[in-house]
Amino acid sequence: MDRRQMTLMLSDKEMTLLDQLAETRGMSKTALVRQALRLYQSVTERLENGEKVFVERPGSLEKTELMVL
Amino acid sequence: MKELVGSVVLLNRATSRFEDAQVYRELDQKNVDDFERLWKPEFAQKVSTFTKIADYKNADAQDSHWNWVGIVTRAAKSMGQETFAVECNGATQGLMLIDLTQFARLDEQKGRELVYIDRLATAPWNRPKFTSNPCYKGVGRVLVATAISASIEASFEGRLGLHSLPQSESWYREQGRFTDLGLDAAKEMHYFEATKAQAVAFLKQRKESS
Repeated sequence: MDRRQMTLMLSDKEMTLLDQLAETRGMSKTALVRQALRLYQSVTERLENGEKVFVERPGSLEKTELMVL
Repeated sequence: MKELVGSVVLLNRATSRFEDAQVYRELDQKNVDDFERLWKPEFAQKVSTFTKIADYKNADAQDSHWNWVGIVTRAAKSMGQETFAVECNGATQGLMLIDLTQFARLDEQKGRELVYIDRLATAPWNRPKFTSNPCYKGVGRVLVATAISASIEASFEGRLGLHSLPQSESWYREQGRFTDLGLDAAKEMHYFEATKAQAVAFLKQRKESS
């Protein structure tokens, strides 16, 4: 697979979050960023196709529609 | 762009000899052409003899309507989908579509990322129930192993999920030794999942048998 390199500038807060998420998910930081891109594209495409994406609170029927602008 | 990801061997049932095969990521025009020129006519001829729905399962042809041309076109635009092909003796012997945006359902790995096998098909001439002289054995196993490798590559530790056509359920249960989570009412198909340990066991079993 062709790879292209880029430099990503993150704040301390963003880098801490990236470290925490990578550890929690058991993934490398690169793999986590790739996965974030996959999911973001997937959600965006679903919304563009007229589908709705919801977040449901456990124990209740309350749902929040996820908006991606 | 099409990329060679590995070389494997397939057993030619007619000669009882192993032949070199290649596994590719991202299908190209050759694979699409093989599907159109070689796979589809065989499916069309077989299906024309069917008289009842059960014939599709009995002949291992429940995927005969899958449109791999459309699948390839859509996957090429999506970062969450990848296509793979197995080629041997100059022809496409198997095709697979995986989805990397799904999450595990099994309690012990619930919510973790996994590779979901969206579609997997071996060429019609390789299917023992489809033809009286099936050609290559092991194409499906190679593709499942490829999906596990893709899962490991994506940092998903080999975790795998899939819905099985009824014609393939026993294979995933007995050969794959994956966990059957039962009938998924939304898809009207059984849902199977492999943990990291099951994925490793599958790869080990495949290595020992080859």
